[in-house]
Amino acid sequence: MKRSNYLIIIILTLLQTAFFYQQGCDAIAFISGIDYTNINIIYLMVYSAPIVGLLIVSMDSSKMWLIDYGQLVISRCRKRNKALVVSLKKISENTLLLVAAQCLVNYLILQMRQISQFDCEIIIVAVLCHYLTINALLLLQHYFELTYDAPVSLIITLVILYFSYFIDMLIEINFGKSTLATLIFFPNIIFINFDRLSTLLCLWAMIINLILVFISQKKLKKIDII
Amino acid sequence: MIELINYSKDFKKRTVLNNINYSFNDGTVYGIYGTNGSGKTMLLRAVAGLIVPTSGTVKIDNVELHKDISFPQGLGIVIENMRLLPNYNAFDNLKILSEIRKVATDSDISDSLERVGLNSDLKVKKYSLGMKQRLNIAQAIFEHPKIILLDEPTNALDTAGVKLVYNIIHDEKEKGATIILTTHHKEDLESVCDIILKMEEGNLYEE
Repeated sequence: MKRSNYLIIIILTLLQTAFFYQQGCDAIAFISGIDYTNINIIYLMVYSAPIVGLLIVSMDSSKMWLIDYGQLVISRCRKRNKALVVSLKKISENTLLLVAAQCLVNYLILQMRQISQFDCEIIIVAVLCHYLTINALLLLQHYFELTYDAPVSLIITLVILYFSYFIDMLIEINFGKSTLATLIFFPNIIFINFDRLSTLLCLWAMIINLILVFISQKKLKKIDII
Repeated sequence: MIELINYSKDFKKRTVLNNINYSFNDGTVYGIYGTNGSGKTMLLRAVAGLIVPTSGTVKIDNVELHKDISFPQGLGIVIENMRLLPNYNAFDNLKILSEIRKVATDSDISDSLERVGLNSDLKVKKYSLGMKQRLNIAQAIFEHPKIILLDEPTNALDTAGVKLVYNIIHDEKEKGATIILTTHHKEDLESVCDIILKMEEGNLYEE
């Protein structure tokens, strides 16, 4: 892996860390400008009371309505730190996509503990299982010093897409094969062909994320919802 | 009662709300007019708890916003140019929103849609601008809120639509709701509001 890629991973993780501390919300789910995935997340958020945290990032003017919709949702919340809407137009979508996945996982992990609706529980368990599966693969890769070649990566990607579809069916909304899961797995798809250091970085990011989730739960910082 | 006490809000060194002191009484319709950027929308956001004051406070029934509560309970809001989930019909959109507070029933949702004259099963993405605005109004009233904030509620509505919105405002007032609506034009407010206020460069004046 190129040195610049390491740098990107580190910067992204630090960026997320900064967001947590700056915003002081329980957990953050980034929503990028991908069709339907946005809606899935809002759907998850709405159906998994109490709401934990949401950061809507709209890089695309055609998706700006999500900001307004987010405000509408938030105005119905009981606690301010449970939801947050921010527009960050200037950050490139590709950059945020990587951060998005890890943030979303945090959001889902937190949701696991506070789920009140059965359907959502199924979805989140399913998503988490897939996530853990992929990370287990990464661990194996690291432990046995395996190197995945292109066909193996392709198969893994297809499996992920299959599960995305499965999740969509669980959600029972007609959004086709879009994909909360693909968003979550996106960094893993990239990392899968990386070497040991990138695997460690990925795991490190996960651990940091988990710690931050618990730390940031205690914090409440007041911020405008724009 | 909604009380703004010495409320100021600055954005990037620009004062958008300037030391506002005003009380909005229950069961009264307030109309705020002013030019673009005068602070009308920001005032509604302040009452809704969406922005945090630079200084001052908002009290709702003597409960302080951002201290005792994060958001006013029983609030309906229409945000300008807001759109709901495009792939759902009107009923499903309101049903999803109702899951947050869990105070409105299916019957409340149907009633509110009927009140705004929407009985279509079309997905929202196929709605005209006027239909979207009617749905916005419905989402603001279907939970029977005590406070209703309407930012440019008659935007995109035809004459019949405007009349319908005014009738809804009147009905909600009769039920005891505090209603604050904004517009660019003072003449829009005269037939429906009890009290008209002017917003100018972040300052609020009673006429």
